[in-house]
Amino acid sequence: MPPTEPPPLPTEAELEVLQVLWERGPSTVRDVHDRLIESRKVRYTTALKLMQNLSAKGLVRRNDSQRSHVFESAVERSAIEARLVERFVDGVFKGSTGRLVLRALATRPASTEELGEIRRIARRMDEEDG
Amino acid sequence: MTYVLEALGWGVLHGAWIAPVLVGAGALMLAALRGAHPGVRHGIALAVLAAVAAVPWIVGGYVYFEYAEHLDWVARNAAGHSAAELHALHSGMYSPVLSGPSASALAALAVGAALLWLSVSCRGLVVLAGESFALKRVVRALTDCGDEGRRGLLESLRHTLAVRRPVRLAVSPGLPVPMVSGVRRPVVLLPAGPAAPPDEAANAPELAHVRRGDVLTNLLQRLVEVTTSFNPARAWLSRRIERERELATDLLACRALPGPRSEYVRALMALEERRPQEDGLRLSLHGNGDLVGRVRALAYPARRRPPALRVALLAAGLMCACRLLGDHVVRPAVRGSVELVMERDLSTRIDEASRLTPGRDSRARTTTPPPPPAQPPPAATMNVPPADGAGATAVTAVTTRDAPRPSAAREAEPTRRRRRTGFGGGPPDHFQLRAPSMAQWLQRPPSARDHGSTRSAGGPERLAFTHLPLRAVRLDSARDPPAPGHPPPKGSVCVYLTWHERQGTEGHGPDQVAPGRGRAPQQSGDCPGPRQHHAGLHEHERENRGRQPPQHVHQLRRHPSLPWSRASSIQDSISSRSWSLSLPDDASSSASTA
Repeated sequence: MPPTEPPPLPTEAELEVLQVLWERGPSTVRDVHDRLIESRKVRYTTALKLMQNLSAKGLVRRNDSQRSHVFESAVERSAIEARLVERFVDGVFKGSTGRLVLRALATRPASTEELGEIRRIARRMDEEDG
Repeated sequence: MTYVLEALGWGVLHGAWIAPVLVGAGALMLAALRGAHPGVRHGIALAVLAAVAAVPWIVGGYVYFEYAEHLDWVARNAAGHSAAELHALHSGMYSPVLSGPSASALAALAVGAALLWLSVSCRGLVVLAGESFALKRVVRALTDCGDEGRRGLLESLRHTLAVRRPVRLAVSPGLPVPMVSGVRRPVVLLPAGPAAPPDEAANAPELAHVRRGDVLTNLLQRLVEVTTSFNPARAWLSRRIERERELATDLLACRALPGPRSEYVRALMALEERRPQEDGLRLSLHGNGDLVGRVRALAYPARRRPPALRVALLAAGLMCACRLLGDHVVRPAVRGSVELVMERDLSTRIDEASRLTPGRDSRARTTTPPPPPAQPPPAATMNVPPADGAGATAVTAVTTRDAPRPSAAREAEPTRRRRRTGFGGGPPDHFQLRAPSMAQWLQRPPSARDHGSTRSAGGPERLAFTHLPLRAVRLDSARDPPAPGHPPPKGSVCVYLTWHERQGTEGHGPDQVAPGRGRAPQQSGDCPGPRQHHAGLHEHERENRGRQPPQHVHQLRRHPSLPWSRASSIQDSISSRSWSLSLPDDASSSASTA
C-alpha cells in the first residue's frame, strides 16, 4: 500500500480557522465566524469560504447529518505545527528564507574546538571577575 | 515615463560605483571606531546602507530634474521636430561625445538598466513578502508556552530591560535555537524538548533584540538589500551590520543579567551544545568563528576609547573627500552628460566660429589665418579674455549680417575647415544665422537651420540669448582650456560667452546696446586687448544703464578652478534671465578685426 500523501498546508487565514476548530472542537460556520470576529473584522461568507477550502484540502471534515453543517478538524495540531516549523527551519538554516527572524545563534554551528575555546574564555572571565 | 526610466537607469549605473565608494568610506569610519560601542558602529553601518540605497534615487532624481528645462524645451518645440529628432536631442544629453546610434544606445542602456533593476527589486520584494507571510503563519501555528516558571523569567527580564510592549512566548519542539520575530507584537520562539534553553540567560539575547528594535531595523535592512542586490560592496556591509548588531545585543543582554559575565557566555554555549546536529555529530569543519568572536568581544572589550582627534580628522577627511568627489567626479559625471545637450547643435558651432573668426586674441590667430581683406567684418564680436595666466581660447560670440560666402571662397580657405572639435559635425566658418534671432533659429527644426544670415529690413539685428543657448555654455572652469591648435577634450566645451546684460529682449536699439561700439579697436595693432575691451563693454554698460556690470562673468574667468557648486549657481543665475545682444546696424562702427 503506497504511503498516503499528507494534506497540503493551510494558509495563514485557514490556520486561524483551524485553530478555532482545535480549541472548540466540532463547530458550525456561525460559531467559527463569531470567534474570528473577536480578533478582526471578517465576513461570514469569508469564514464559509475558508472552511470550504479547508474541506477541499482534507484538513477538516464536514458533518452533513444536521441542518447546520458542522465542521471538525481532520488533522492534529501538532502535525500541522511540526510540518510548518520543519519547512520554516529548513529555510532559515539553509539560507532560503528566515531573513526576517533574528536568531540567537548563527546559521552554522560552532565546532568542538570553538566550544573548547569558549569554555576557556568563560573560565578566564570568572577569574577576572573574581 | 521613458525619461523617468532613463534618469533612474543612470542613477542605477552611477550607483554601481558610488555605492562601493560609500561603503569604503563607511569601512574606514568603522575601522576608526574599533573601540567604540558596537551600537554606534551598527548605527553608522545602517546609515551607510541607507545612503547606498538612496543613491539610485538621488542620482536619478538629480538627472531627471537637471534636464527638466530641456524636456520643457522639447515639449515646447515638439511641433517643429520629428519624433526621431527629438529623440536624438534627448539621447544626446547622455552622450556628449557620441552621436547618432551611440547616443541612442546609451539611452537604451540606461532604460535597460532601470528595467532590470526594477524587475530584480520587485522580484526580491515579492520573495520577501512571501517570507513574511510564511513567518506569520508559523508564528500563528506555534502554541504559547504554558510553563509559568519560564514565563515569569521572561517577564522579569522584560522588566529589567524596560521593554514596554508585551512579548509573546511560543514554543515548538522543531525549533533548533531561540528566535525572535514580530515588529509590532514581538514573539520569542523557544525550542522545546532537548534543545530548550536552560534558564533566563537564554532569553536575554531575544529580549535585547526587542529592546533595541532590531526586528524593525532588520526588516528595513532586508528591504534595502533587495533593492541593492547587485552590489557586492553592499553584501559586505550587510554582514558587518549583522555582526555589529549581535555584538551590541550581547553587550546589552550581558549587562541586564544579574550574574557575572561568564553566566551569559555559558548560556550561549549551552544553547550551542543543545542545538540539534544534522548528522548527530559536531564536525570540526562547521565552525565559522561567529560565536567565538562574540564571546571574545564580551570577554575582551576594547577598553581604549577611540581617539577623538583621529576620528574627527577622519570625519573631516571623509567630508572633504565627499565634497571633492561630488564637485569633481559625481556632479560632472552626472551633470556633464546633461548639460551638453546643445553642444553639437549650437555650442560647437559657436566654438568653431570663435576659433575661425579672426579675433583679437593672439592665440586664436595663431591657428586661424587672417581673413581676406575683402571679407566684410562681423557685425559684432565679443571677445572673452583668457583666464588669468592660462592659455584660454579666445571665445567669441560672432554673428555677421553678411551674406554667406560662396563655396568657392570656403574652398580657398581650407585651413579654416581643418579645425574640427571632437564633437563631430562640420560647422561653418562663421556662425551666421539666417534668422532674425537666435531664439527663432533654435526653434527651427535642425534640418532647417542653415548658417546663412539675413539682414534685417530695418533696425538692428538682435540676438536673443534666452536660457536655452546659455545652457550650452559649459561652466566647467575646472578644466583647463585647450591649447590652441588642439581640439577641446571630450566632455568639455571651450565656449565662454560673455555679453552685457540687457533685461528683456525687446526695444533695445543700437544706441542703447552696442557691444564694443566706439571703444572697440578697429585694428589689431592698436587693440587694447580682450580684457580692456571687455572692461570697456562694462563701462559702456555702466554709463548707459547706471548699473554694475554682471560680475559673475568675471568670477567665472578669474577662477579656473571654480568648483562645480559655484559654477552651478552662477549658471543658474544666468540661465534664469533673458539676455539680449543687440547688434549695431552700422557694421563699420562695430568691433571688428578688419
